[in-house]
Amino acid sequence: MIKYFHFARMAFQDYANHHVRLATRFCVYILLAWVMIEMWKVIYASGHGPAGIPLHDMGWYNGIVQMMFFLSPRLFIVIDEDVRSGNIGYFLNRPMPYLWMRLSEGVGSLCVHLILFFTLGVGFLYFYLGGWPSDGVETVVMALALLIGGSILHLLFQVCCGLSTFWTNDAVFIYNAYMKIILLLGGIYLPISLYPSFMPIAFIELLPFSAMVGAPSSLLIGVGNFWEILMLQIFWMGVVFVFLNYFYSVCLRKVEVHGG
Amino acid sequence: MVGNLKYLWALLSITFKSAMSQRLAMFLRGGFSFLTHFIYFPVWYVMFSFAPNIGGWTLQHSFLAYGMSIACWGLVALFAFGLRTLPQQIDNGELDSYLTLPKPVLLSAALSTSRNSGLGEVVAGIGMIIFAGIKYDIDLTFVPLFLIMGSIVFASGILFFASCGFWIKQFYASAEEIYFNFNLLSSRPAPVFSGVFKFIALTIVPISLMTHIPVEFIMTHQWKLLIFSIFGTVAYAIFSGTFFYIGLRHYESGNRFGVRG
Repeated sequence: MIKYFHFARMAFQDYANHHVRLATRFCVYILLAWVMIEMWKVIYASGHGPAGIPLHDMGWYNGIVQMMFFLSPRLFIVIDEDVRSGNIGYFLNRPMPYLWMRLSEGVGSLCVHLILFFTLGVGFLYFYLGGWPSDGVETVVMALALLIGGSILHLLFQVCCGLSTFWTNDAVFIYNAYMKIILLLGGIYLPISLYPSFMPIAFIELLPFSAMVGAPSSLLIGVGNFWEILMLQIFWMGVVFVFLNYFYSVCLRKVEVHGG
Repeated sequence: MVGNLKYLWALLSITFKSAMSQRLAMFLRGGFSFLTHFIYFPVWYVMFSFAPNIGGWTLQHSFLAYGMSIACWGLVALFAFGLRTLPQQIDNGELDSYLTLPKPVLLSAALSTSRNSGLGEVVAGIGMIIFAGIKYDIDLTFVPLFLIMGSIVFASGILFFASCGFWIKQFYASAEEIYFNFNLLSSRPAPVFSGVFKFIALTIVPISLMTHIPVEFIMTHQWKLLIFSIFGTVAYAIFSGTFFYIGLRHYESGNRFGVRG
């Protein structure tokens, strides 16, 4: 286990030293969160705001939802490059599974983002929106705690996308498709509880995309239960973990057959 | 000038031929990216079924804006993908080979590579615009002009941010993040951009020139918008090109430290 810790530590140091990358990522987050909050301001001003959810809480919802996309590093790109360049062959000789090595690196990088966004990002939302949500700072803490689980789930999905390079030779378009599904089913623009009746809301709420993004943020608008969302995240992490193990063994066979 | 235009044409045709040489991969990726956009667009259906009007911006505006933004993304990916890899080319000292050519470095660096998934984006984008035109009875006469201008604005934006790579090393990942969100923001409703945002959206990140102003012109036919759009596009293209050449003065060949045996 200690070797994974060291890989995570090295990734943490590497990421923390890329100040420009971190600053750019943070600025882009601010811009996107700002735009989404402004969009909801316009919606409320037009008289279409949802009854029972103050604009202030909706602002927090949007800010935290956008944060989710910026927490996880783009791990699929690293795996995609390893597979395409053939470097994966060198990593396979090491006395540790390639998959878990990359995942531990992803977790290390994630920790840098967690520190940055949970301090400066939350600070920005606090000052921009002028205070904590109606249900208090506890809901923010709970939402952020669930966001960590959501980010790890997102990393696991990214690894799946990265490994798809074995067949597609380009993980980017698989990842883009995955992201679009999150945008549709994750409650990014609109909380899932406000989806129109033609969308199967009860089913959408059980999917991993909701558990990653929409459900944790919904706590800020007084919807959902912390423990239920946590259980759902753990369930989906288990499912994706088992699938990933199987998928990885299939990929390894492909490497052995084709010689890396 | 004529020589450069001939060179531009030759580069474009070679790039296109190169993309077409892998027909199956091109159509597979194109088809997938086409499908991806059709998975995404219902998001706006959901949004507008909840709030039918966002400050005067409706579903038809969104169809046009999203169609334009992805078509421009696709056109740049198909014909000028080199712009997106510019920070990498700078870091790896790959501009050396273009500097030795008698033709403009920018043309060679920008047009020498292509990404074939762009085809799906172009088809999906144009498909959405045509669908909106038929469904909502919108005059699409000026759409081709706006697609060309929007692609120039987007390409210029990429060039501007990519040129920061002359001063900032390992800027590739940051630049990719900026391009992606540049395009994403251009499909957001125009009324959202007011005050400081409006200034940003018309200057440093001119997403309004790419989609908001063209969509407004298509819907209202106010000629001052078209004139403003043309002037803005030309001005931003000149600004970005100048910024690139200023950066090029800082370019040192073999920026990448390496040992060859």
